[in-house]
Amino acid sequence: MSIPPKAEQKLVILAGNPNSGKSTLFNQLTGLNQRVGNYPGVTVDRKTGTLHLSAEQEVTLLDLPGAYSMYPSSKDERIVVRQFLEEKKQPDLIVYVADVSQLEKQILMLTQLKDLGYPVILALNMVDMPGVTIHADQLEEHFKIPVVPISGKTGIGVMALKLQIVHLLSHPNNTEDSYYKFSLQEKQLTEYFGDKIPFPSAYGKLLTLHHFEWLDHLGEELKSEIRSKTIGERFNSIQSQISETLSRYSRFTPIIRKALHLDEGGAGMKITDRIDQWVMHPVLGVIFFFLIMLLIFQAIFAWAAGPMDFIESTMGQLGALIRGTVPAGWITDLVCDGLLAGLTGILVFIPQIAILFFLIGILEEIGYMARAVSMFDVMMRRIGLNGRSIVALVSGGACAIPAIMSTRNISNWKERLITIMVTPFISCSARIPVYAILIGFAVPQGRILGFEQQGLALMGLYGIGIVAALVAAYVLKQIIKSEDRSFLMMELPIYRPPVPKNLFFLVFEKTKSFVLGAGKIILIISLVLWFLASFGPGPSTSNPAGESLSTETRQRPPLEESYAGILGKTIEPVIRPLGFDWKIGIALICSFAAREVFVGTMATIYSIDDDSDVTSIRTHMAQDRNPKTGLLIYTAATTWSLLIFYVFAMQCMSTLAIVKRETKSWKWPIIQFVMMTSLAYLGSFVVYQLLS
Amino acid sequence: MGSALRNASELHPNETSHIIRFEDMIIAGKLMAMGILPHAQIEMVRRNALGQTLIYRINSRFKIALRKDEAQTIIIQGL
Repeated sequence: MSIPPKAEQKLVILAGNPNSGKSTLFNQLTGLNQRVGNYPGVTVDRKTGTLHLSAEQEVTLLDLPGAYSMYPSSKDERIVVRQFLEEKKQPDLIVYVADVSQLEKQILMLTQLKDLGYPVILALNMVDMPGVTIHADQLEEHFKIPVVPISGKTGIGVMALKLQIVHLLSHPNNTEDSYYKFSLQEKQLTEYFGDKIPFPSAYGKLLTLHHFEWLDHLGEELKSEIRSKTIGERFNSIQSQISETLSRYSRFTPIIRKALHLDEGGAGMKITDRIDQWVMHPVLGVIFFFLIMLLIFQAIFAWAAGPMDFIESTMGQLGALIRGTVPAGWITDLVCDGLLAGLTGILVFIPQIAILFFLIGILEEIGYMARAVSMFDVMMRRIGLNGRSIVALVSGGACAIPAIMSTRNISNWKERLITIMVTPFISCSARIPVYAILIGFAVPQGRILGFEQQGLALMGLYGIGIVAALVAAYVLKQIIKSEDRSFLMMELPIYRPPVPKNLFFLVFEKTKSFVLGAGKIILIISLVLWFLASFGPGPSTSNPAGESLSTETRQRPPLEESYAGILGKTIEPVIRPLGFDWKIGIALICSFAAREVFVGTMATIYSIDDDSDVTSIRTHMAQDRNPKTGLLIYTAATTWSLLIFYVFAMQCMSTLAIVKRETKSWKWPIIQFVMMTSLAYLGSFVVYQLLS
Repeated sequence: MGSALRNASELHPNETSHIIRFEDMIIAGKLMAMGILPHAQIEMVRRNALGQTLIYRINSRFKIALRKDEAQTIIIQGL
């Protein structure tokens, strides 16, 4: 193999501000050779890729999350500092990306990274924008680093950048002298600690003095020494940070003002202002936002239906094909009803995920999302959410899975967590079949004030879900503690056309992360559910041990004699106060695969062959009577109770799987399950007791 | 000049002033890293409907959204 082993591969880090076009360049440089992982402890994507420099040289490229400086104010932002101070694998080169039209405010971190002692290239992005003139040579002379004008979107200058990377990897340009002139105190302190702080450059030692409390690679002994020394010397971290920042700016601002000429209103500023007049208008802006949300909702809801049906029918045909060719037996059942059903349960979400992220991607790329967030910040913050939470809540109306995945961009952990916790309260499309089949038992047909009664009841159910989400958010806001201070302070970038390549990678990545990240859990749970529904201890399965493992035709027990059926009967005393019998109990258990399974389970219970024959299912349910009392089962009280249960309860294994993936622990999905299901029990209990 | 200093939340839409200093050191650190420094020109672009989120333009170059309490820590030149 000509490719050297990974350990020897050189590491190049792509760094820069948010909105510098860093990710576009990353996609341009790595193409399909990229992987997304996670940083330990936080849920920020860690994007790495392979960069081919020549036939015999390739390096690892790491796309660092966008940051403004080496002084982070939240846990997530600390990643950037950790990458340099804590990681053993030090970068061989940093490619610093800056938007040329915003150069003055994007260069601070460049000087900090240079002072850390790394070889640096400055990639001036978006040089193809109209109204921008830049003298790169003046910047090269001042910063003493190569400056390459590029366009991440069109690929202009990318070849030159690669050549420069090759050159610097063999001839590093890092220097000892610091761009920032240390204060006397900073100089004395860093020299005092010297080699005790395991970072070669003086600026790295200084940053360690600022951030030692949360740097994990330092020993407790060293930490307490730094603590007592900095307190003794009255080292004021925040004061020192501010004078450092001011000193850096005062050095480079005059240089940049000389080297860069921007036409009045150029670089898209004029158009941006015109669009903002409408889009950020206090009234029109809100209407515009909700129109966009309506479009997103409509898209996930309606556009995904075709592909979803296609996936389901294809998998159904595949199952039928297997049944037709392979002799019947429990293995065939396992493959068709367990494995294929589980696989369908994973694949069926892909259209919704792809459509949602495609649309969200466009909104982010063009720069609209920042505006939407700023508009709704106040309102959402009062109930513990974030402006971006609205997108999740609206998409939750179609499906909670993509909605929860979309919270990745909420940078405040507490606000993100609350959004994840409350989104499943919003009635998703899987609840509709259940509502549709039940609502007739609770509300007779007819009109009130010209409105269809059943329609009003359906709206009411949606309304209850929305209120539950908002109230739960408010309650969680009071309960969950957070050490991060919450800020808005958000840049509103210039409007830009979306880069198709970026959208492609976003959709691809999100789909992949769902299938690989949550798919395993979904598959396991569906196998368990299949087992519970297909096997039972009863006499009809009294095959001698061992024989039951043969592929011989084996009589499947009726659902009520299966483990699921027994479980349904076992929980009957618990759910009786809600007006539910054991049949509903079985349906509740099986619904855990997906809520709409309720309908299919009812079909099985009443031995209706075609589970799409809703009328027949409804007729059977309407005639069903309690064998002891002889009373109808689906009275208004029981039906309302069941409807309320479906509004509140966490009955979706896929949602729990994705919550586990997004919060990186079982703690939150378990809390969510308990919270939602208890609320459902309580709600149903109250409703049933009041109505019966 | 000469009149009392104001904070940035007291600007009227389309009114321009200059930043004198910051009251909150943490916010100052963040704002400065984003390119908002003392002496910078600051123009209020608009307030949202509730007046709680304020949009500013800095040095005629870029726009930023601030919460009212964040804007109140930015001290600007008086009338």
